[in-house]
Amino acid sequence: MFNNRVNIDLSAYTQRSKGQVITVRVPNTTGFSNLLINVGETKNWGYEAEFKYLILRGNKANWDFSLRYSYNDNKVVDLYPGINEFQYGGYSYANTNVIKGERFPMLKTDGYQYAPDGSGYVLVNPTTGYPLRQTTLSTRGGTLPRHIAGLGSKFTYGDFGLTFNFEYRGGNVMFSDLGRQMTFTGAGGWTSNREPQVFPNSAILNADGVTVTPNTSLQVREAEYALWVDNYRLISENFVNSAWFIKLRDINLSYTIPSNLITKTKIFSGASISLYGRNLLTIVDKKNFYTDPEYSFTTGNGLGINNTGQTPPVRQYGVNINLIF
Amino acid sequence: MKLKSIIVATIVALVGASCSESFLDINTNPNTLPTASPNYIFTNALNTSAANMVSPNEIGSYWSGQWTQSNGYIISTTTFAYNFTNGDFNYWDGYYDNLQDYQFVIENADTYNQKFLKGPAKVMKALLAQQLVDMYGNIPLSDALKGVASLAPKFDEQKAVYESLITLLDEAIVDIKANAFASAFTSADIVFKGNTSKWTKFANSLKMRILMRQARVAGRDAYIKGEINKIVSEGSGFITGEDIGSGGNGFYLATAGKLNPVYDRWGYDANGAKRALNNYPRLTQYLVNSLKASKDTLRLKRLGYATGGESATPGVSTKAELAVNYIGVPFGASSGYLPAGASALGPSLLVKGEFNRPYILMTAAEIQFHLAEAKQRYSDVTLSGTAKSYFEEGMKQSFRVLGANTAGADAFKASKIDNYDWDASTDKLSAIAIQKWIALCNFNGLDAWSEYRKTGLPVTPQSIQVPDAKRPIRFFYPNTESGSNGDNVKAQGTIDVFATRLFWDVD
Repeated sequence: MFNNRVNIDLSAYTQRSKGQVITVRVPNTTGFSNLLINVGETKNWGYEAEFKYLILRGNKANWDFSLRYSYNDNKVVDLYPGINEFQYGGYSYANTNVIKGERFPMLKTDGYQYAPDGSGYVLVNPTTGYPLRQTTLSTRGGTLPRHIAGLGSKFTYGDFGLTFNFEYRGGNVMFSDLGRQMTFTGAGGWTSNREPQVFPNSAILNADGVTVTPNTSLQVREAEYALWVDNYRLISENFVNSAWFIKLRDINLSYTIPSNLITKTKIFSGASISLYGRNLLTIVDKKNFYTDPEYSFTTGNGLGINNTGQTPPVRQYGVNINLIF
Repeated sequence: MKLKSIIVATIVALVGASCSESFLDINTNPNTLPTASPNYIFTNALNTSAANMVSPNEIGSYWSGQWTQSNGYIISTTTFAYNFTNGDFNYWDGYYDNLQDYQFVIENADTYNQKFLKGPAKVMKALLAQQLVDMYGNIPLSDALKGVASLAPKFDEQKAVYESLITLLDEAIVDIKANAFASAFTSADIVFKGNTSKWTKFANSLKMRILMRQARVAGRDAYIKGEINKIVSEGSGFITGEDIGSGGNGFYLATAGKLNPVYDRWGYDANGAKRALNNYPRLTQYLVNSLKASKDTLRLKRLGYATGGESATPGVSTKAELAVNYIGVPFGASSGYLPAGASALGPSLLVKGEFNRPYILMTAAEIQFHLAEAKQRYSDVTLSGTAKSYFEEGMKQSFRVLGANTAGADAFKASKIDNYDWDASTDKLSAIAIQKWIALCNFNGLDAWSEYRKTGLPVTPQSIQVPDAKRPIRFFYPNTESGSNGDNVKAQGTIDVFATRLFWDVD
C-alpha cells in the first residue's frame, strides 16, 4: 500500500518472576542483617513500538526516518512475609529502596513538613522562621526511566550522508547530592537571595496541630548563611527533581570520495571522511541544575543518586577518515 | 627426597579432601555460615562493643552539655539544632549485630567446652541492652537474636527489659562462679584476662547502674531496695579502685585499624599524625566555667587541654596549664570559637603515643556515685558504707581515672563548696548527680546523657541553635528497623523525640 515504505513494529510483554533468589534486608534485631532466600516476586511489563518510514527512495537521494517508543515498568509484588521495604543504596537522607507494591528502585528522601490541612504550605519554626524538616523519609518516585523514545533519521544524497539520533528518557526522579554541596559553598544560584526574607510559601502551624496561619511577616533569622547552609541544604527534597532528558546522542555527516578518484591513487580502494559529534546537546528539566541524569554515583542499586564524585559527561566531536586499501 | 615426600603427601591430602562426601554436596545453605570457636567470637565482640560505643558516647557527651563542636567545622544541625530524622543515629544495627555475637557465645559455650565465656557474654549482653533501652526505649530482646526463627522480632516494654537484665545478670553471676577460665583461654577475655571474680563484680556494678537509673520512677523503691540487698547478700561486691576497660596494652597496636577507637577518631593515626577530627569536639563553656567556679581546676586540666591543644610534648598543652588558658565553647555555638581557641579533649582521654589505653566501659567513680545515691535515697539498704563515704570515694576515683592527684579530691572535704563538700552540700542528691555527671565526662557520654535526662542536673544551657527549650530525650527507631520490621515498630506508637519519655525519665 505504501510501496513497502512503512514498517510498524509493536510488542508488549509482561514477566512475573516468582521465588527469586534475592538478598532480603531483615531487621538487625534478628541478629542478622540479610537473608538470602528464594522468595520475592517481581513483575516487569511494558510495550515497545517502532515506526519506520522510508520517506525518499531515489537514485541519488534516500531518506529514512524512524521513531521508537517504549514503556517499561516494574513492581515489587511480594517480599518475605512481614518485610515491607528495605533500603539498599545511597545516603541516610536520600536512598534507593525496595518497597512492596511499588516500582523499584524507589527514591526516598527527607523533605519539608507540609501543612497538615493540605494547603500546600511548608511549615516553618514559629521563632526562627526556618523551614522544618521531616523526621522520616518519604518516597519521591522511581529512579528507572519509564518512557524511552527515540527519533532517528538517515539522509543520503549521492556521496553525502547525514545521520542523527535523538533520545528521550523520562518518568523518573533523581537526587543530586551535588545540590547540597553547591548550597554549602554558595555556588548554587538558588542561594543568591541572601537578603532578609520570609521563607517562600510558608506557614506556621496553629496550636490545634491541624490548621495553619500563612506566614507573611516572620523573616528567617539569618538569611546570609544559616538559612542556606544549616537549613535549606539539609532538606533533601530540594535536590530531588524530574530526571527526564532529551539528548542528541550522535550526529554524523559523511562524504564518500568517489571511487573513480580513489582508484587513480592505485593505493586505496575506497575512502570516506566524516564529521561526527556525540552528546552535543542535552536538554534537561528546568529544575535540574546539576548534571546529566544518566550519571549515578554507583552503577546498579544506587541508580538515580549522583554526587560530586562523577566526572561530568563530555561532549565529543571529531573527524573520521576511512581509507580502504 | 624429603621435599618429594611432602609434595606426595600434599597431593594425597588434596585428593583425599576433594573426594570427601562434601564434594558432591552442593546444597549448602548460605544462611548457615561456618562457625568459629566462641573464644574468637568473644574477643572480637568485645573489641566491636568498644568501637560501637564511641559514637553514642559522643552524642551523649554533647547532649549532656559536656562537649560541643568547635567552629573549625560547619555546625552540625543534626546534633546541635536537633534537626534529625530516623536515618540519623542508627546505632541500633551495630549494637544488635554485636549482641548476636554474645548470643552465639552464650548458646555455644557449652558445646565447645568454653563454659567460662557464658557468664561474661551475658554481662556484656546486659550492658548493650541497657544502652539500647536508654537510646530507644522499648526494644526487641526476648524475641530478638533468633535468626530465621523470628524474622520480625516483637518489642519488649522497656521496664520489663530493665527487669530482665537484672535476671540475666543473676544468671551470669551463677555461670561465672561455676566456671573458672581455662588458663589457655584467659587471653580471649580482653576485659579482665579471665579474672572471674572481677566479672562478678562488674555484673553487680552494672546492676547498680540499671537499678539507680530507675530511682525516680514512682513505686519502684521496694523493687530497687530488694535488688540492692540481694547484691549485698551475694557478697562479691563491686569493682573498686580501677575501671572496667576493654582492650588495652597488648591488644591495641600502633597499626592502622588496631588503635584504641577514641585515640583513632580524635587523637592520632598509627603514625602519630594528629587526626583532623581532633579539631571537632571541644569542652563546653558551661563545663569549663562551672569547674573553675568550684575551684576544681585539677580535673579541668585533665578533662581538656589548654587552648592550642596538645603540644609536641605528649600530654602537655601548647599554652601553659593555667586555669585562664582553658576556654570552653558555648553549647551549639557556630562561630567565634576556632579549634585552637578552645579546650580540646584532654590528657585523660588523648595523649600522643598512648594508643593502647583500654576503652573504658565503666568507671569506678560512677559505681561509687550509684552507691552513694542508693544509700542516700534508701537509708535502710544493707550497703555497708554511708552515702558520704561513697560520695567521697567517688570523687577520689574520679580524680584518679582522670589522672589528677587524688589529694585534690580530699581537699574538697570541709571546703564548704556546694556539691563538692558533702557536709556543706544543701541537696545531697543533686551533689551526687552533679559529681556523677563530671565523673562520666569524657568516658561514658551516653550514660552522662541518661543521668542528665533522669535528674535534669546540672542545668546546662540550651544549644544556641535552638530557639525553644525542647531537647531530644531519645532517638527515633532507625528506618532500617521500621522498613523491615514495620508492624512491630508501628506498635510502639508515634515517637516524638522531644516528648516521648523513657520510663525512667519522669520529668
